Amino acid sequence: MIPAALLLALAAGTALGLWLARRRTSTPPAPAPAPEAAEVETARWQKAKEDLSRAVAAETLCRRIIDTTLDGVAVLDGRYVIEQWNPQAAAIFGWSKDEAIGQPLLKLAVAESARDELHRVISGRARPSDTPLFSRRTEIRGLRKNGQEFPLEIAVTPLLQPEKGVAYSVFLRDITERKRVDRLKNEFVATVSHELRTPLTSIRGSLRLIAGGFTGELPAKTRAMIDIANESCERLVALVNDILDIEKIESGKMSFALLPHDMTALAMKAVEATRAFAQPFGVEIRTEAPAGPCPAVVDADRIIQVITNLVSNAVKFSPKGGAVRVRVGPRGGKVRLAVEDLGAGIPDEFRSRIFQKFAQADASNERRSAPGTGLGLSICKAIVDRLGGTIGFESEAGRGSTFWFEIPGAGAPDAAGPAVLVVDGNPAEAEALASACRRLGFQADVASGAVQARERLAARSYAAMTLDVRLPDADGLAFLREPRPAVPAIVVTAERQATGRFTGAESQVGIVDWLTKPVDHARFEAALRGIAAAVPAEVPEEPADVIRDFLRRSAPAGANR
Amino acid sequence: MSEKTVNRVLYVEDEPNIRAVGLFSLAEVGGFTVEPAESGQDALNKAGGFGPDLILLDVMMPGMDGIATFKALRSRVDTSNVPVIFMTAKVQPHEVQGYKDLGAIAVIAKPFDPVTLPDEVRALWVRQGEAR
Repeated sequence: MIPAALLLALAAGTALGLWLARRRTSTPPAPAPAPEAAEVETARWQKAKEDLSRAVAAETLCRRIIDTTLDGVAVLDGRYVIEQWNPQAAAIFGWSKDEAIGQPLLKLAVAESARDELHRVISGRARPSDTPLFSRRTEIRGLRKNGQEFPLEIAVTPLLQPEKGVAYSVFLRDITERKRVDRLKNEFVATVSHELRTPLTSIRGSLRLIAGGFTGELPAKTRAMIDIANESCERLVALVNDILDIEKIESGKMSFALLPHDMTALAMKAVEATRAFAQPFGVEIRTEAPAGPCPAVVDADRIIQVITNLVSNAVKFSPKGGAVRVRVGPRGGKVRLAVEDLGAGIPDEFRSRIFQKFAQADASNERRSAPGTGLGLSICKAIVDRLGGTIGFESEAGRGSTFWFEIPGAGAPDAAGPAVLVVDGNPAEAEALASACRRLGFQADVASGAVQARERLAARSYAAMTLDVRLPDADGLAFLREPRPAVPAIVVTAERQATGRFTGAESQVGIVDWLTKPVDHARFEAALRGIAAAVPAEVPEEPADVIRDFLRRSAPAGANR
Repeated sequence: MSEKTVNRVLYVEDEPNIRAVGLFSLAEVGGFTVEPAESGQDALNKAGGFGPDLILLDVMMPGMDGIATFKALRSRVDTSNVPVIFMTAKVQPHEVQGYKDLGAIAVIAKPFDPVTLPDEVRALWVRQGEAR
């Protein structure tokens, strides 16, 4: 918004300047213009004045917003050099505006340990499992003028400016206080849970000894009460353990012993461990697995904890005499495990918060017969997240539910170069462009229209896109103007006059080149490489590994320039 | 199978109630001859005279903790070869490995189940006997 307004102001200013210049040179001193011409001239002059004052007002408003916002705001050029630095940024880092402008942000304000990470954020190229990095807040280590490091929340958005190329708006927040409060809260929870454990150990131990008959025969009424105490105590122990688990995972204190394992074997182990639990429910557990091994790099205990949790949930919510199916297998470089039950399904109102802490559906018979802590699925999610995977479910009322997770398979090649989205309504042409992208070392996804393109853009971060201006479901240019983080676009069109329409103003919506079909592949390649290299090539200091890798991959074979 | 079965257990636990439950479990349920100790120092004082086959050692104790006690026991002639099992709530994989690297034969997680504790101790004893 802000840069757009600035651009508008600049554009308006430039237009006015040009107009004035033309007016000065083209208007001879005599003779006086005809009355109508004078009126037209006055009206134009008036309009220009209004345009100018509107532009100035807009610029002033933007400036005031930037100067008074509680976030630190910086604008960087394509080399991450600071061009704008608001008072709050000065307050956070201790560098005044004059000191900051002209300095590279990474060197000035980012801890050395976090520079690579920020490179990734800015260049938008992270692991394929990451959610898109732009337009989301990332936590990194900031660096103050006095050398002190601190937790910094940063949001980077690329901007394409006419003639200036890539720039970035950066929002910065000092989150020291928030982190301190979070830590205190987590420490409190951990301490309370630990302190609860000590008395619980002896309560639970005593109750088990009494219930086990080791202290003598119990009268029937006493036994009934002891059983209740015993059962409730077990639940309390499980709850305390779960709270400690989730606190450890979330604070990064839980260590993961990551080793390659056969997921089928781990699934079988978890299923065997759950069979005794399933027996009183009269539920059978069936397994389906591929013949060969299904390797993944995981912490065996933690992944068994996840599978056991999903299977025991499925058992609890299955009808008596029902069956639970556990399927494991490879899926596109990942390993997928799915647990399917034939229970009542997940109520609609519960779906959105099913992975939240202490989330449980309304009391049902199933739940009363085997209460959980309400933390199981959130622990599963935390573990799967830590393993770089995803977890989810599908459910149909009255038909049952399938809970699944996918984790990266062992030996799965790390995806190649940056991703390009090919948006084209013609499947054959789309595929031709996609394979051209792949030949150049990019990954390529295809969208057949604007709707699909929006989905793809929301799901993944792209280094570039190709766009047919005539999409089956939308006007390509209107699609480009939709508000979203800018993705450099190469427009591909069958219109003959297309190249003539590329004036430079389009770069505001991210268009970097405009090609006619049939596409000249040399030019397409040059445009694609230009986009991909734009950011890393201009990084003046310590390019991150990802960028170095990229540069190496994108260099033409045999070329050593 | 090891030649000798485990009978005499030195049980070190600072928390009185947990100690009482553990003692009951080991002696009454398991049939071991048990010497309870309430601190690391107490364990060092009693170990020589008692002559344990096995030492069950709590980790988190005020003053001399389980690790320090373990090292002290190892440095003494009369206890340097007695197998030690740590009992602790800290059972993350790297922590368990840390205890084993020190020389412990196993780690039993707290809260323990007093009904099955004796069987667990016997099983661990047999396993370390086979490993030797």
